[in-house]
Amino acid sequence: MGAAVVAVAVMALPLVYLLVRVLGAGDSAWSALWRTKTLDTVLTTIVLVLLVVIGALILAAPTAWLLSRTDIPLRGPFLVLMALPLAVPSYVAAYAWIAIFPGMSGIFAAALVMALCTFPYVSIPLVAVLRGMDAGQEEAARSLGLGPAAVVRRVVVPMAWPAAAAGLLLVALYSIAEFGTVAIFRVDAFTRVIYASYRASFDRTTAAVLAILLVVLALALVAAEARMRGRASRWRIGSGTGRPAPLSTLSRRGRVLGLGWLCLVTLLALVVPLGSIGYQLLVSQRREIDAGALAGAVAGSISSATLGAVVALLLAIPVGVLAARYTGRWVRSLEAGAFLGHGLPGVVVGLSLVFLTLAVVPAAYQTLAALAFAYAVLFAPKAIGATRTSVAAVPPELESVARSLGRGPIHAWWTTTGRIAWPGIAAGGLLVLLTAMKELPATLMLRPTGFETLATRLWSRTEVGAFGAAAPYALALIALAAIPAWLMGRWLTRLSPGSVAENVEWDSVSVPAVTTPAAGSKA
Amino acid sequence: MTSVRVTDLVVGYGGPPVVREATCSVGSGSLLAVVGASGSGKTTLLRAIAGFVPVTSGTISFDSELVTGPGVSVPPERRRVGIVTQDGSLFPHLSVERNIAFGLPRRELPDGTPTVQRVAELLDLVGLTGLGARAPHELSGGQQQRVALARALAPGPDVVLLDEPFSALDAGLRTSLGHEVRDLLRSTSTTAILVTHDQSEALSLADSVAVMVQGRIVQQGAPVDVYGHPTSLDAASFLGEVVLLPVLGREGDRVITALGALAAGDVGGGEQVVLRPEQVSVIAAAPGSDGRGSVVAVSYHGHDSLVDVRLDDGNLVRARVLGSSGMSTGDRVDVGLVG
Repeated sequence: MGAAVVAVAVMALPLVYLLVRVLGAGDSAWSALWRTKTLDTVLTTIVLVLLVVIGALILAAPTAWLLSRTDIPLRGPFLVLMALPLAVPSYVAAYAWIAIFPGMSGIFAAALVMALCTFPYVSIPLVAVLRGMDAGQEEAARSLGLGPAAVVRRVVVPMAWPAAAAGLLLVALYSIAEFGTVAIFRVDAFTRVIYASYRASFDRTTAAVLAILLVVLALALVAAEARMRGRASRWRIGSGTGRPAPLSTLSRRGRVLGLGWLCLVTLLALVVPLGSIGYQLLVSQRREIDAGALAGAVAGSISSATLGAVVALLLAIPVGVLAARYTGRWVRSLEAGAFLGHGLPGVVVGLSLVFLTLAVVPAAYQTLAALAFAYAVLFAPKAIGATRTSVAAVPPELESVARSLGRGPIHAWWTTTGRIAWPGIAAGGLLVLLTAMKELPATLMLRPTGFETLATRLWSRTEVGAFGAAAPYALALIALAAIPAWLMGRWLTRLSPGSVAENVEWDSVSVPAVTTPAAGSKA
Repeated sequence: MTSVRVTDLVVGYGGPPVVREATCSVGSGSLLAVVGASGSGKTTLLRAIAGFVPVTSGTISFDSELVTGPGVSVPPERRRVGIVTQDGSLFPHLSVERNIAFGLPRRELPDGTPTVQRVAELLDLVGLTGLGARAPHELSGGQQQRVALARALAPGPDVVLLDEPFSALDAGLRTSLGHEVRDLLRSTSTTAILVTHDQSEALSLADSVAVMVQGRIVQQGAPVDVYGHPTSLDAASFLGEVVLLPVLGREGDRVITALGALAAGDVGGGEQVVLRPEQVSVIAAAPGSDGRGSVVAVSYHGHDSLVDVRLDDGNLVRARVLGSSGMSTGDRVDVGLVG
């Protein structure tokens, strides 16, 4: 408990400092807030977010239905393919698109690219929920006189909606916080404006005010998402295994249309970005690719992200364990506090840590430590999610039994819950590591002078239009990020129906908990 | 060999109390069944005895040692209790052997017995010889419960707490395993508390039965006494079918009812007496006689039948007859008392 409080306090530190700073600025903060440009920024951001969310839903819903409820051919491969867009950081996709169409810019371009990169946040939980639904409920509805369409409307959609909505909110959070894509397509949404005013002037009050405003918007989304998650109990007690919902048989035409749709999505979300990068690589063969710089960037990415993941796990484990085992207002607000980082855009954390280090520990300004701390604040929620799911999947009675058999509280936890949950917790750490490697804005702001990561290299090359030189970095980023997406796709294909729904965290990127056959499999 | 005494125990999880001033006790080496409807607080009582939930007030002592009380709370790992839960709660990541050995020292027991030998003994004891290397999910539900019991017994606990251990099993297995477990506990002289919502399980297995209603123990005693002489309608109706008859008068320690006089515990302010259907006899009215009432319902259960009779004075009584009653609704009958 104490450890969890400390962890949350540490995670909240940057945001608190940012607030203090803005409040301390007084009048100049007010005038920064009431500029007409501020309103423009708010509106641009909201429109962008809405476009991305709508786009993601249009891409995800038919895809999920085809892959979960029909006998579409090649379902397994497509399940994996449809998870892979998550592996394409949207600024890498943006670079890839703009390398083909150098004239691309504006809000629609940004929304299209982001929707293509984020729709799996919606489709993956939808597939899991649709496949996990027990046939019993739908059969009951049929027997009560509902036609197939009415069953979809009154049973399937209401049951699937929370998962879809939680996914859509993740998409919204992603798009509100995304910096690279917005900057590449020159959309004046919050992140770009904040970064620009941070770079442009030594009076950084405007940047801070905008950052606070962005945080407010993001927190509203986080709150909405938390409501969607509901308070469903996360482990199963004693129920038998359900039967999977039946698959619809597609007609010949349905198959052609369905396959056509999946191929189109694959083309736009994967083939175009990868093809573009591949083409740039081939073309740039003639010029020299700086192998030394590439190796340095890889080393930079790995070292900073590993450090960040370690710090994130240290912060996440106490909170995740607490959240899995206890409810109540106290724990819920602590957990909500920990999830702040999940809504905090990288640009905000970067900015606040710049302020914080300069004011409190100038020695830490633009050091690896500050960068790792930023990663931990930003991505610890992913590790919290993984920890909570893994721990919640272990029946608490196991710990009780271990204690009654003579083990102290910590020893009992370690030999039962900890032992069973650690693969999930470790996966959470790995997830933080891989996510941190893709981080761009906070890295740009906090990295030590001369320190390069894959993301910063890609950014600086793209900024100057050196698409060929950027290609190796883009490819390396995708390769790194493909690992968790690939694992998740594989996991989805292996899912046994019926045991699924409770393992799907609202944060769909968190990895399933236990592979050991747990209490659910009893005769 | 330890006796357990719970006195005026109150447990609330920060809200209204779930257990309210519950008092019960179990003698050394005997089996107490706490029986009650779901939500009556019996599992919470058990968890309090095991030391898993903080109590608001009241005391729990093992023999003369206070384990829960004002300023005293012995942690679960030092109480020497074994617990068996509804689904066994076997550790899914450990083999059967390692589950059983979980509470034992790694190599050998304090008396020098190798741990592996003790585990083998326990496997024999619960009838699972040779299954030690299996993973828990490879066992049937009944086998899992046997392992859970062996695991609980392994460290030689003072008290074993069983939380509805048979309720997840099918009916036939439930009865046979129940008796097996009872005999096992008896042979090892282990004090045990069994929580169940199944009154026949409680009555048939336990040395002593405590009836729990809304957080209180309303009655505790030997199964025969609690069933035959309930002190409250709650206790009476939870343990089986009841027949309520108005008391017409008294004759020493016998009460007089419309069906005759009998020695019975009375509940409801002395105005009513509680009977069991097997204490009521029903026969077809003799030819020429009009009988004392008419049959309003008959339900057949195989080994017995329940016959509901509306007496001519308006009272409704229920009688149990062995096998089929041969009666049907509307028949005129004579009703009397047995014994």
